[in-house]
Amino acid sequence: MTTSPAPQAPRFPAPGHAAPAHAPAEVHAHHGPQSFWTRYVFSTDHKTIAKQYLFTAAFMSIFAVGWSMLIRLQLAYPHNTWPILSSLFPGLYQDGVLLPERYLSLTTMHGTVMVFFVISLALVSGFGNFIIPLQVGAHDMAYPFLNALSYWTIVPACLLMMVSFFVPDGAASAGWTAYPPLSALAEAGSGLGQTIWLLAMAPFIASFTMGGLNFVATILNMRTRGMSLMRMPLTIWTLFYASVLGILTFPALTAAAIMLLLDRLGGTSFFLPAGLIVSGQVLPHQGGTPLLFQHLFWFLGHPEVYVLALPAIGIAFDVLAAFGRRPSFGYRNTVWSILAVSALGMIAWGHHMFTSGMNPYLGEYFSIVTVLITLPFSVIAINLVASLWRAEIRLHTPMLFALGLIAAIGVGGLGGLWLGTATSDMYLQDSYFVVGHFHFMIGVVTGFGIFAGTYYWFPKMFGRMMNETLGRVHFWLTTLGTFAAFMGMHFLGMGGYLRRIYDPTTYRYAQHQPLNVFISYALLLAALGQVLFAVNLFWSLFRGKRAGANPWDATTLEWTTESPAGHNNWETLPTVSRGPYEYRTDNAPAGFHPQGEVEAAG
Amino acid sequence: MEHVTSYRTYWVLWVVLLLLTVIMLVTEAAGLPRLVTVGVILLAMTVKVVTIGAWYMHLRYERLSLILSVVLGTFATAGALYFLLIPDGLAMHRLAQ
Amino acid sequence: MTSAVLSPAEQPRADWGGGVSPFGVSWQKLMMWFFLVTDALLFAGFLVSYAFVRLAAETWPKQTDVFPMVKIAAMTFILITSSATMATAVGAAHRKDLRRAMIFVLLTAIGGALFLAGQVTEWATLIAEGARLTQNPWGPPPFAAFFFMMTGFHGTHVLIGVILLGIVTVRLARGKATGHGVEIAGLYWHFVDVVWCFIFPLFYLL
Repeated sequence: MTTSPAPQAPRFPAPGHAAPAHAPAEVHAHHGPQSFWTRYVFSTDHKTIAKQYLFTAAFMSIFAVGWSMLIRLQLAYPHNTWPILSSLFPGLYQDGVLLPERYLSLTTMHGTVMVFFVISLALVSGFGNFIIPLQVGAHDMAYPFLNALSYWTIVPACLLMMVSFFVPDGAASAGWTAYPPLSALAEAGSGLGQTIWLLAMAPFIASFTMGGLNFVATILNMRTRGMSLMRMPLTIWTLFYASVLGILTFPALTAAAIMLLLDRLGGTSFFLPAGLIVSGQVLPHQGGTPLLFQHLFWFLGHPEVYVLALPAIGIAFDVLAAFGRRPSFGYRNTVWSILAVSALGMIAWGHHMFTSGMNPYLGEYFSIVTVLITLPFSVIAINLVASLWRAEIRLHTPMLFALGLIAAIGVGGLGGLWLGTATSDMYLQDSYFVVGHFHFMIGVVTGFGIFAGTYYWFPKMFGRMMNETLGRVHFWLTTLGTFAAFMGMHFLGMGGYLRRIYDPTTYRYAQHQPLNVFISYALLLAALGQVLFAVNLFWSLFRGKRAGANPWDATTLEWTTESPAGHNNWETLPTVSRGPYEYRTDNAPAGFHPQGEVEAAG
Repeated sequence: MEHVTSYRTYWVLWVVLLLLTVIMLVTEAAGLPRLVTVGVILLAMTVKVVTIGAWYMHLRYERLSLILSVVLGTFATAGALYFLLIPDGLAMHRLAQ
Repeated sequence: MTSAVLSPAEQPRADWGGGVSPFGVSWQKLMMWFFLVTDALLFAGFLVSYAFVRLAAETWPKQTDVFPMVKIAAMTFILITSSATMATAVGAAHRKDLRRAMIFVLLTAIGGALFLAGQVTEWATLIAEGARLTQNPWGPPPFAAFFFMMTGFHGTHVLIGVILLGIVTVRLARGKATGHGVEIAGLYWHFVDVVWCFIFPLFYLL
């Protein structure tokens, strides 16, 4: 094939604009910064920032998983006492018994930290930062400094969240959704922890917005020559839509959070109706309504689900193609379906509010739109499965996780039908069916996306392979544990078992305690699997097998640079002349065509 | 080539914007039927926003793709939020009475 | 499709084909535009919440009884004028007329400061009349709360804009600023004006 050294195109031959003086390609010298601080800590290199995000997310996940273990312990053995836990966590336990209000703190913080500080950070910010410039063929993100700033904005947010456990009245306990009036009224039991929760969300939103702007600008403006939109790998597409959704919907949460903060601190009544009575006292608030908060919250909250799930699905598409050795099935259909899912996902939030006293006509509308999402989402799911059709599967760990992700989408997606329809949701609302469902969609699907991505790109990040055997054991422990637990939760919910109940034996109809015990042990198994993952991670960092530039024989651009990728990714940017998944082509000697060829320098 | 608008255009538009504001104020004070007042003021508001966006912010000289991304992104999202919250606001109003 | 692979040089250069900006703008300008989209949606969130609460309310004060309309009109005029001076400054910066650009950016900043001064005195008057976040002498409390929140947030944006314009003035005086940079600062300033174009009729008039 002919690769004539094309003259390097000016980056912005835009009408009338002289190329901006500080285009990032020129910001970086050809060798990276040398001192420890600029290289590893205050780096503006997208790969370093990505690793910072990923390790921060891993660090936060230790706490989030730990809290879930305490929750499961309480749910499995609500009447036992654990003196040792009293001495370990004096704020949470008293005389070996978990305090009921701290149980609510645990569920709140588990949800908040998992959604915003583990999955968002790892999947969107972490992998997004790492993979976007590498897969679109750019030297770095559009605005590297803003990128570093967005990471350093997230650090105080994480710290604030953790600190809230140590203030009087403990951490926020109004649920990750922070519904008023509970979250707005100190009289109703939400103390300083709730204020800190809101203050910690502010830098998170700022950081995520900065990151999202950078992602969108990079994906649109910084693609290398020949990387047309329909040649972008699906990871890039999903990250693009996730960023757009974030940019468009996070402001509503910002507005809601500001108003909630004013309700808490300024005594306003944005979300507080007249006639609230707390401990026999009529409160002076009047004129607001909690329904407004629910609308604003879920206007973000529902798209946030797609922000989290779509990148995981994108990673799965990349992994399925690379390890199935065949082009991703229905690439164009997938791209348009992701667009349809994102667009419909923005106007379907009301299915979280069917029992909120919402106008019933609205409920009908939201039901219909929610069920409509099934159409494009089924296309995506079918394309995932069909990507296995006549595949020559290489069953490495990333592939295992991608396959597990398909299964989880199947289970979670079917549960979604029940919850998206107003009639059946009336019964299932706030039950463990919901808990099981969203743990499949934004727990297992996203988690498996993160694991698939980690095993897949680890060689590109650190130049070493992760251990296969440990990886497989990790996969099976995680899959068995989570599927058993979250499927069990669906049955609990069908039995009428409600979420956020401190003592599951409170209600006479709830006679499923053995199932609760089973779920707890299943999740313990899954958590132990994560210990193996941590061991594998650190062992492979130092002892893993050295990886070549393209250890998986994959086609996308990131595999054309060395492992680990150097400071500027490429000396000369690669040029793209093909689609992202040209595996198993007849005339290719290696059996596949890499998407881009690196031009000869010069 | 970047379109360079003449200074004169900006100041002609400035007069237009001021006039539109005066129209708004006069309409509000004139005590016309509510529907007319609302219609005129919203129309004047739209014209003002379009004028500022198109000429002052140079949007009319940008490519259609950028115009659509910005305008649709903002107004479709805000519109979705507005039209899906309003039925509940009205329902709350009926409840209050 | 794999048999005839064009060499990179032979490939057609489409707007969206990579290697060029599909919108024909630099990433700085693109990022500013998208930032304005998300910032606009924050105000949209406030305005929609205001619409919601106002619709749900039984009564709402008549704004002309509350606000000194002449003053609000004067503030609106000032802000619109500052947008016009900003547009002139951007035009001048593009013509490499840095002196004129500097003068007009400075005028814009002064306009913004005047607007802020008007806003501060308006707050002071209303607070003196008994308006608080929690109470409102003219009717339902959310009226005052929305007033302070929306004008407060808009005022903060104006303040940030004035600071930004101050920096641009200094850069212009030192001959450092480019037409492109002034234009991006201008986008932000016009955006602040656009937000006021929504708040003024929707909150003060209707």
